[in-house]
Amino acid sequence: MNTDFDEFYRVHHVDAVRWASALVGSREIGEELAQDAMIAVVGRFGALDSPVAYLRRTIVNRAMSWHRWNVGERRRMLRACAGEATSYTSQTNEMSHALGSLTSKQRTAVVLRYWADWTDEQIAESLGCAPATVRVLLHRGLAILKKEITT
Amino acid sequence: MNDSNNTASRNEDLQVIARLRSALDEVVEGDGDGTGDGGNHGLAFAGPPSLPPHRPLRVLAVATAIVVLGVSTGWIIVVRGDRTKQSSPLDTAQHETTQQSGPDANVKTTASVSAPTTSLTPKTISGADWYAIFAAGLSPEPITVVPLPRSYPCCPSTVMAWAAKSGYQDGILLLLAQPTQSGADVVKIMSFGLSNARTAELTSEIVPGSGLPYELPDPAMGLIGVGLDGAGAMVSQRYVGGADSVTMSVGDYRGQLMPIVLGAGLHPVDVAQQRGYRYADEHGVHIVWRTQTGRWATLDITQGLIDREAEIVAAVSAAP
Repeated sequence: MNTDFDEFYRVHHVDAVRWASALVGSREIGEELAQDAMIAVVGRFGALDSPVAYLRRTIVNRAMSWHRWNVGERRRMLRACAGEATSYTSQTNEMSHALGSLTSKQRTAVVLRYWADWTDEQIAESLGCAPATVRVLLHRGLAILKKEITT
Repeated sequence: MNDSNNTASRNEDLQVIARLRSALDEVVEGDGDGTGDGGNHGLAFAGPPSLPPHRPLRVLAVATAIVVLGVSTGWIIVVRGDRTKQSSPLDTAQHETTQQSGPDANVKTTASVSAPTTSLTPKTISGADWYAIFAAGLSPEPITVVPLPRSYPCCPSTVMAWAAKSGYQDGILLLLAQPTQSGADVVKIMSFGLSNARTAELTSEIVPGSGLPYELPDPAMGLIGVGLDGAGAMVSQRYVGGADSVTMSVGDYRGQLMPIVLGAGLHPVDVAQQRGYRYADEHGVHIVWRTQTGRWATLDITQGLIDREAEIVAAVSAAP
């Protein structure tokens, strides 16, 4: 079981960090979330039919939890502490700001579909909704991004 | 007309998507230095993973030789040799230094406490537990995410902890793996509640892992913490009472058990319906405990509030 998980970790950890980092907009927090998700996976690794699907769900859920927590004052303080926003290119900062105007589900769907190349079905499973709902989230999310970026 | 409108809209979509990919590439790749390259999207997935985060690949590739260089009262220093790499004068110098610094530890080996307990607690921060303190005269400041400073010039050390499955009182084994410029890890092993012979036995069982940085495949011991010392971030909240304060922090394992092993001893205390361990130093009183999600919580009480310690500990509760 340990060997199996070692292999799973070896193959999927980098992806996990990338997915989580993209969802929260921070490599540092993404690494934390990915590590968290891996710990969740190892606890029930032998009982999972699809550890990868569970990993995806866990990362999405934790990223959304993080966004719920990271609002208002906390977001401001995080940025002040991390100093990340000012160190990216202006285009990245603009996109970051635009992503912030989406709802959690819209942002999750847009990032995972258009950046991580997940299928609608994979996103739907992770969000606990129908693939058709994902397509609606993508349509609306992209429309908001276009508006935010072009104005 | 409709066709041209659709084409224009589709082009706008593609432009936004391209910018999204470029921006997220920059965020994910890293260090925020503005050098993100949208053109390499997806390529980074193909490379071998770096495990754990920040850990140099060369460390994962090293051979499995473990050489015991010194043993003293439960403290053993081992160097995991890198057989894939040519030996160099720097390697030799590192080994000599390690041998000289080995027998310095002072580890207590006896204690008697009841087994740790766990309880279900709510989760609020990235799936991890969080705690609040409701005590008179203590005003909460905002919750912050505090990046920890890198304490090493190259790479942070890996810290790992195992405890006897029968309870912490039956043995704790700590590992500190410090990467060196020579390419080999200098690994220090510290134990609590274990005989020298048992410590040496467990040390000999430690092997490099392909997922976790190191593994201890001993049926009597379980992994209770793994992380990087001096890297990442802690979620923290300070409660101020006059000139003194109480600080609640939750984060990955970063050697929180080391003071206990290095002499403070195992002094159990119940906190937020869980089993924590208390120690004191010149800054005040500290209580550490493992949360339900496998992270570690720390409660720091400054000197001026020590006379209210029992009241403050009792006031810690899992946040809804």
